[in-house]
Amino acid sequence: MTDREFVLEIRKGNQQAFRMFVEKYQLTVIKTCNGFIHNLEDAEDIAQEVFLEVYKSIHNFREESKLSTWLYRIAVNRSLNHLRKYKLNKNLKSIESLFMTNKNMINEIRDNSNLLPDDKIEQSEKVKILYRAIDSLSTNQRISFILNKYEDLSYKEIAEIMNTSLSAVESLIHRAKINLQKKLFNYYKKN
Amino acid sequence: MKCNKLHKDLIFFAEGSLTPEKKNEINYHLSECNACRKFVDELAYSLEIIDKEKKIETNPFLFSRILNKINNYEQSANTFRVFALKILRPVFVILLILCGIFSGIKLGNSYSSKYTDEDSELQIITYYLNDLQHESVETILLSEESEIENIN
Repeated sequence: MTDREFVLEIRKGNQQAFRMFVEKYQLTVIKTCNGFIHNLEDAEDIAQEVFLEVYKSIHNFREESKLSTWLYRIAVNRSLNHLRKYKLNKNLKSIESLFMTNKNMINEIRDNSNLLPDDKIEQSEKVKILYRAIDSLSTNQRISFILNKYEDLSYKEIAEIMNTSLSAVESLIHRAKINLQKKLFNYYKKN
Repeated sequence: MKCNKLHKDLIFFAEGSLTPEKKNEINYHLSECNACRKFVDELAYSLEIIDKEKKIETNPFLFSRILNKINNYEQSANTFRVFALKILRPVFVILLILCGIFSGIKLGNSYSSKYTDEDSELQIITYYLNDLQHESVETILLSEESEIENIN
């Protein structure tokens, strides 16, 4: 089924078409959300909201851009909104981030069960540092970097999603990588 | 000195996006510089973390969860529609009628309050005093009479 057919069928209320649409794009959406959130459970929750938004707004979709482009935009906006809400309550954030890092740590330890405990802790520490470095990038740099690295999208596709020029995206991704390197270097220099 | 010059390209080297010449130059430097080599290893590991994070399996329950959310959304939308049709619409109509009655009463009060009893009496007296003005035919006759007298 093509994207155009998906749009027409979902507009008609065809549940089977919507199921196929979700199956086709669920990994794309979850991966994008996970790039921002760094927590799979939260990313899946946001993905559900993204698909609900698609279902609700498909009648307003003017088909000026590709369906996937529109889907990426919703996923990025929803993820950024989630992070904004998350930042609003600082006390809650500190408690949740404590749990989140523990979750990530546990996942990392499970994945690498052959490592020594010290190595596991060091590894989870490195994961945290990387996430922190990505999160500290400016919003546009972060969006372009995540779409490029997590979704392997071309610069042209990212430019369409971000509604900007190709050269702007090239510059954003280049600066994002340099800033990321600087932040990681500062950390490794300290340690 | 060489470290400073090549440092900005290390992340591009780690992800393998450099030209072969640049790549050879950095490879040569890394064979001599232990610190840069360690940092490149760290960068490569960081990029590996991203690659690992990308490997997500599809969730078979995601669609049913989305479907639940859609059902909840439609139910709440229907509830609102029913609420709007069965309750809000009659309430709005009643409010509109009350508003009309109230504004009618207000307008009526404001009109009658303009003229007091004294004002209406004065109007009647003025009417009697100036009743000739309202009987234009008689006035014409009077004026004709006075004209005839003048001629005579």
